Amino acid sequence: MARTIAIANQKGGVAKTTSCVALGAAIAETGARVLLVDLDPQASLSYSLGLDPDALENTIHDVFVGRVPVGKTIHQLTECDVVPSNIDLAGAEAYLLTRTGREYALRMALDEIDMHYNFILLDCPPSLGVLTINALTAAHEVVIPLQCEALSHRGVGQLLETISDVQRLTNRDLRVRGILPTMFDPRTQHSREILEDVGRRYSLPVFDPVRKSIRFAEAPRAGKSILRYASSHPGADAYRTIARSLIA
Amino acid sequence: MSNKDTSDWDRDMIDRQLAEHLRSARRPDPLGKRALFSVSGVPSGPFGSLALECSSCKRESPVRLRELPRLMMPLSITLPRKYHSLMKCPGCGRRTWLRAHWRV
Repeated sequence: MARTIAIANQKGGVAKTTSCVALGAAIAETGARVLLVDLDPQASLSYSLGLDPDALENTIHDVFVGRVPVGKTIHQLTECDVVPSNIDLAGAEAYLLTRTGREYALRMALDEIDMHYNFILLDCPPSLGVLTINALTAAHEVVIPLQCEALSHRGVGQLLETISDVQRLTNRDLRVRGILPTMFDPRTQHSREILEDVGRRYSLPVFDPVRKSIRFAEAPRAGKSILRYASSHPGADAYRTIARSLIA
Repeated sequence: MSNKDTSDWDRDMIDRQLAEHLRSARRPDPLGKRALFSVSGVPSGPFGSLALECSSCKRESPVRLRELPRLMMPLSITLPRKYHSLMKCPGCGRRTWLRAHWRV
């Protein structure tokens, strides 16, 4: 049975997708079988790995509305397998809101295929809607990417409250694995202060920070993870270190 | 402004944001984010709460005693087996075999 890890933070632009792709690639490098699931209607993860979201026949949207089994949506790529999404997923959210048991739609879908993988990583949308609830209900663990700036704190408090709701209502075993500081700039006092403050404030483990780099912006344009695009870059090594501690 | 002053300002701002969030969190709205969940949150009393485990979705859902008749409609069967009662699962919404037990 696969270990399912949600990468969640309702704030946009905190490197959820970058982290999901990089961690997936880093875990796959260890020989594990990894599936990435794109749960964002913006389909950034699908695009980042070289897929054209608008040209896809089946996506996670079709799974949510019961049109196809999740197995038929999987794309086997060089770095790992992917269940892609596209803008239609925005409609699935409205569809799910009318359904009893809507929190379990993803979990039930993944039950069909989780024996084929060691790790399933869920790239959550930048919102606390029903798709994020589905991810948190399906996950064993959640990792919270956090951009090292003051406004990011606000989102973490709200997300932890939602995680607590999920633990109470739909997934008692969900565990917060830790906060993943991203876009860290060690030259600024501000970044260092935020990093120091965040673990203490929420009493959560904090992974080693991932430094800001233009390479993270270039990699998706090449349809590759940072690990394939710039294998020896410190950013790639940072994700390898985090992946090792995540799977330990 | 020195670096130290900037950090103090950041911390103050974070404190203010969190305090504001905690104040707003004290006004739960059933049509707000609670509407994202289809299952009811049943707070455990001092003696625990009733939970139903579903043979289909394998989830355990807490239920209130007064919700049971609705889940048993229109017909419920009980047999001496692990998942003993045929009723509607509050988690996945399927009409299937469930197991009731007391959760402390």
